[in-house]
Amino acid sequence: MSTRGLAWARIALGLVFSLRHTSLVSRLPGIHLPPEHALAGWPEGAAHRIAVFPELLLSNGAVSALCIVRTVAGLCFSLGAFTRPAGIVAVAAAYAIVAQDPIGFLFTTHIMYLGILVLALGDAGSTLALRPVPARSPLSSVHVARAFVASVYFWSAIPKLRGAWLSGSVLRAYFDLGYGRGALGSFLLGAHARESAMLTVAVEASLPVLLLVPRTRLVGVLIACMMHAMFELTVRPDVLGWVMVSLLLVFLEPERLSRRGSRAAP
Amino acid sequence: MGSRGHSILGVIVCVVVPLGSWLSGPSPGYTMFAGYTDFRLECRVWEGAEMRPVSPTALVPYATGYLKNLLVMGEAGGRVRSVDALRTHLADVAALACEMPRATRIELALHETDESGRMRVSRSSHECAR
Repeated sequence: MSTRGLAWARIALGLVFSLRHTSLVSRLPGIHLPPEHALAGWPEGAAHRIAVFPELLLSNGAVSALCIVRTVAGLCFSLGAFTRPAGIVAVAAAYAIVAQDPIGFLFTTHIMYLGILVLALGDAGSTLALRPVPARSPLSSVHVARAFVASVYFWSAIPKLRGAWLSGSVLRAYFDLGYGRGALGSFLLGAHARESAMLTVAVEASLPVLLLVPRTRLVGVLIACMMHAMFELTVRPDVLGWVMVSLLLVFLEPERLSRRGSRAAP
Repeated sequence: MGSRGHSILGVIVCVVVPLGSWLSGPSPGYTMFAGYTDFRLECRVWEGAEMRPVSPTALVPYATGYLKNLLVMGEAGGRVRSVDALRTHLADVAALACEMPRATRIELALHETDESGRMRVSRSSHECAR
């Protein structure tokens, strides 16, 4: 099985990871807690931090060093230079920095870190890389990456199977907070919040099946991309859309597409 | 990593990690925008035998990260996706509030109402070393 899809996902997700942790991302709307310094998580002078556990409280110097390590490792991962160690180091540094501000924990970045870990421990560095490493188990690498993406949609649908979400009141509350942008935002989050909430759960719950069944895979990828495009046009949930579209690249099968193309040719 | 390692990795990232979020949140899985919480934070500072209420905003100079945003919102009350982490670390916030001059004891109360209307009050106090 080709690992090109994994490599594309690695390049895209590595870039999103690197950019999300720099002040460049502050220019994008919808970013939760945009970095106040050049690198996200950079320590703020003498102010006290609350770490997730007191034992994990690091000195300012150590946190600054981790911010630099995270950036360099993220770029190496994206470029495919020492892909596996770079990905593991980038994720370890990122979680160590998050542990310094657990109150600012964000599921979007958590999913991004897990995605990088899955790709790093797979064969995502075997092609389209500065230092390609021969694939050891391409089939299981692709399967675990695809299972992870499908599981994200499944586990996103579960917390929404509650009355407050299904009635549309949660979306209306976010609309009141100023989340719904433009005419489309007020249509989906305001006037038709209930229908939007039901549709979101229905799509998220059906995506794991659509994505994992070969016959419906392409349809699943297209529906997922449309859903994320809709989220970007309305609520802009940080970089979640960019993270998921990057991860959806693991479902692309260039060899199958080229076979179809050659069959269609006269 | 071989296929066996990938199977273990799959179980961890697809099942164990999302289920584990149940330990700190209202449900398993990636909650993101699935709910919201209205919250208010009360802060009382003891200076010896004398107690006075203070605005959580007074703690902002001693705080970092997202906690600063929550403290600014805290007195009047605000609506956010979740205050699960703030509740978990309420004792740490009380300890941090000891940075205020002359404080001998800090008492915090976090009032929450979730999207279903369920109310919850969490309290924490900290004796400041002087």
